[in-house]
Formats: sequence, C-alpha cells, structure tokens
Amino acid sequence: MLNKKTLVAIKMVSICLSVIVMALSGIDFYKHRNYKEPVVVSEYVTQVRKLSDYFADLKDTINDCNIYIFEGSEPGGTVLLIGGTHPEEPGANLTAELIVENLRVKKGKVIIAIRANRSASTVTRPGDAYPQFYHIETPWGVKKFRMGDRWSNPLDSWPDPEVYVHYPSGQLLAYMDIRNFNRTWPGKKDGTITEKTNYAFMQLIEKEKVDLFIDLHEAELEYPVISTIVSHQRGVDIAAMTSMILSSTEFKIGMEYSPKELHGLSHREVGDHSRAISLLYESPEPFLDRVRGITDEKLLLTGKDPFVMKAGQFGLLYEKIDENGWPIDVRVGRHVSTFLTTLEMWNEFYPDLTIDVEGVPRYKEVITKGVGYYFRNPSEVPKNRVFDE
Amino acid sequence: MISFLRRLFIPICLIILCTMAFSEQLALPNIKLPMVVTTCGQSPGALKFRLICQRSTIQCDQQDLLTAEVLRKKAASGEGYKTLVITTGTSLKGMGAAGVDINSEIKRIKEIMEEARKQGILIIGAHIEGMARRVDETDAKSIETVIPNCDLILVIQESNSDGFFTKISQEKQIPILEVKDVFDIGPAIKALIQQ
Repeated sequence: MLNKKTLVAIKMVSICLSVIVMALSGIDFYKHRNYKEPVVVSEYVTQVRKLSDYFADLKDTINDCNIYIFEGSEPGGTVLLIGGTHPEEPGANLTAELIVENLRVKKGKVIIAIRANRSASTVTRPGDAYPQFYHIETPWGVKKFRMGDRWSNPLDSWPDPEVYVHYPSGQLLAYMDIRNFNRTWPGKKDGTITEKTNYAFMQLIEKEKVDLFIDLHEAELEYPVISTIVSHQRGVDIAAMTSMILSSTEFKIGMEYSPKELHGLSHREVGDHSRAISLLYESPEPFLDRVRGITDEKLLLTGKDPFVMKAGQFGLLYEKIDENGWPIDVRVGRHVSTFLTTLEMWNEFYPDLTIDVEGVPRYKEVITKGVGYYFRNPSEVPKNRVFDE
Repeated sequence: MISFLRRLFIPICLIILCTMAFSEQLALPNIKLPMVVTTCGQSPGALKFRLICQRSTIQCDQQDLLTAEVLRKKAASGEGYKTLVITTGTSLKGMGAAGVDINSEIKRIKEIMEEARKQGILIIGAHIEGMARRVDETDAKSIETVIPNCDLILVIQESNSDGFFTKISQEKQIPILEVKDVFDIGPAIKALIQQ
C-alpha cells in the first residue's frame, strides 16, 4: 500500500511526463502543419489565383489553396486537374506539382490544384505509424513534402456527426467521411470546411467553364478499384480509349463506370452537378494496404513490402506486386501518361475544344529520370515564380 | 545411323505435333451484320469492343443491358441481329452503376443466349480486358456462363496467357480467335466479315 506522499509524487511525475510528451508531440504537429512546400511554377503559367477567388468564405482558411492557370495562345477546351484529395496518396500531389513546374499550354486552358484539400495534408495517422514527411531526391538536393491523411484535420473540422448525411443526396455515410474530400462533392455553401472546399471547386468549374475534370488518387492493392480510370457516364468513351491505348503502349490500366447511386465522389457528383466530364485515376500504393509490414517513408516511396507480396501469392490482391514493388516514380509516371493520353483522346472526341500541351514527361521518362528530376530549384528562379503549398 | 535417327527424333515429333494442332484447329465462322455487343457483368468490355469496331468502321450496337425481348423485337421488325457478342469479366462498380448483380446478369445472359440460339444468331464469347477481369468468383461465373456455350471465343493474348480459353476451346470444340492486343480485334473481326 502506497502512502499518500508517494502517491502524490507518482502523480506529479506522471503529469510532468505527460506534459513533456504532449509538448514534444505538439512541437512536431505544429512544425508539420506549418511546413511550407515551395513550388516553382513553369515559366508559362498565366495566373496563380486562390480558391477563395471563387468562394470568398474560404479566404484565409487552411483550405485556401493555390490555383495554377495555364492558358494557351489559342482558345480551346478547359481541363481542371486536382491532386491532394487524399494527401496520404503522394503520387497524386507529386503528379500535379510535376505538371505545374513543367507545363506549357499551346491551345486551351489547364487549371491545376496541387493540394485540393490542404487541411488533410496537415495531419497524418500517428496511430498507424505514418511518417510526417517524405523526401524526394532532385538534381539540386532533397525536396521535402508533408505526408497527410485521408480526412481533413480535426483541428479544422470537429466534432464529426454520429452519421454523415451527404448533401444533397441524403445518403448516409460513415461519420468521419464528412471530412473526406472525396465523399463531400458537390459540397455545401454553409457546410464544414471540407464541404465548403468542394463547393468552391464547383464554383471554379462553373466560372472557368471547365469541360474536363480529373481527380488523382492512389489505392491499396486489396481494393478492386485499382490501376484504373473511373468515369462519369459522359466520359466513358474517352476513358475507355485512354485505357486501351495505354494498355497497348505503356502500361496496363483499366476503366470502371462511376456508380450512379454512390454519392459524394468526384467522378459522380462533378459530372452530375456541372457541365464538366469527370474522371478519377487510381495508381497502386502498397503503403495503404492493411496487411503491410513496417510503415515508414521507405514503404511509402518504394512500394516494396513482403507482407503485401505474400497476400498477392495467396490471390488476395487486385493488382500484381513483386520484389520491385510500386515505386513512386512508376506511380507518378502512370498518372502523367494517363493525363496526357486523356487529353489526346479528348482532342480526338472534341476537336473544337482542343487542349494542346507540351513540356510534361511521359511514363518512361519519369521512370528513367525519377520524379525529382522534374522539380526546379526554388533558389535559382525569381521569387515571383515560387509559391508555397 | 542410330545417332542420326536420334537427332531427327525431336524435330520429327515437333512436326507431327504441329500438324496435329493445325489439322485440329477449328474453322472460324463468318460474322454477319448487324452485330450487337453486351456484357455479362457490366465491365467496360462491351464499350471497348464497340469503340474498337467504330475505329475499324464496323457497325456494332452496344447494349449493356440487352434483353431477350429486345432480340425478339428486332427480329420481328425484320432487322434482327445476326451476331451477338458477349464480353465476360465483371465490374462491381459497373454492376452497381447498372443496379444489377452477378446472379441477375447470369439470368439475363442465359435468356439472351437461348433467344439467340432460336434465331440462329452467331454468339461470340469474348474476354478482352486481360487478367484484371479474371480475378474473383464473379469473373469466373461470368466466363463460365458464356464461354463454354458460344460459337466463337474471342480473346486477347493476355486474357489467355495461361491457356485457360484454349483449353475450353479444345474441350468444347469451339473455335478460338486469339489476338495479340485489343486493337487487333477490329481487323480480325473485319476479316471474318469479309470472308
């Protein structure tokens, strides 16, 4: 039996230790949330706007992200490409950034958001051992990126409801999906910050007369919708042709129809609530598999995992995996080539709305040189070309 | 002399095997138009087949939820289909989008195959989306429903990389048309139309 004095001492020590742990964690969380990723925009960028230019409620909020606009010298169609819907899928924001740093548009207009849901990029999943940052080698040094989560940061959106009722369909979804940027389309003017962000993008789509909308993702190999293009019914011809051409020439990629009754997802709601045709790309990310082993930056970037491989040997996966894993260069390479081929098909189906681009490498080039090769050194360009994400 | 015969043994065997294989290869049927394509399992296979035909200027209707009733009505109008293509392999998203499941798909496909038989329509069972559509039980059910009961099996090399469809072709004596790539389907179909 402890005496009162000893008990008080133990409690004091425990409180002190807890405060120290909380302070150290808090510093880590603060640094992660406030880390700024410098982006060197291509010299051919036309404008860099803010999302709040399309919906003022987002001004000065965490989700007031940069909107990079590239206009060609000739008119044509308009495509909006977004990365960072789920910041735990780095292939998406890295692809968007690679394009922003290298793109030149000759005809039509390309609009890009690198971190569409910034809030979700300011939090990770410590309970799942997620790393806070990842690093990409470039010819001029190492570039550091924030790792993120699937859901918006609870600091920006709390508490979650008991059940999330999707607006406007009324469909019931899991409570935390009210913070899932790909379950809250088409958004809500007076909703949570996530819903307001979707709403802002819908305003952008309307105001910029977006014809084609593309949402970049990565998926676990245990999930059937992987290595594929998911398409709204108005985009199926383009998606199917893109899938067939890429599968014949560069890499295997499938195509799936967007279910009409599954609400909140971009490939459904953007197509239903705007004039834009909506597509969603998925590339394989073994880091997300539940059967994975050591969860660290190495797995995130190499996609090599013996446990996921073992699951593959038992026929439990929907995509192949071997000792080469799924490196980030392959995943980004797939996304850029899919984007370029989609535009080629778009131009074939809609010649009056041509979108003609150059400067963006294809799959093989990204694999050969590495994604970091295409990132510019912020210290070597004029300051007006550097933007923080 | 014996060593000479030994050296000839393997080439002779190969020649005999090849001859047997070619002599047993079943003749490919003529394809007549009009043609309709549907899917057993709502994967985009039918969509892809229609786009491929379009590229090769072959007229092909795509009806993902084709029914026996539609086949009957077309026949009654005097413009009945002469060729029915059924792509196999399933998509959960596709079935969700169409509001069907694998059991209702199998029922629908059995009914249209039965009606096609009555009308003398050529049935082509196709698998053109590679191994990604040979993953689970629903894919297997879709394939089992169509492939052993069709008049011509159409596959791309990747779908048949393990010889699965060749085996069915041999067992059921159904001719098989294997093309390297999905874009080779158009010219191959065109050749059978022009035979």
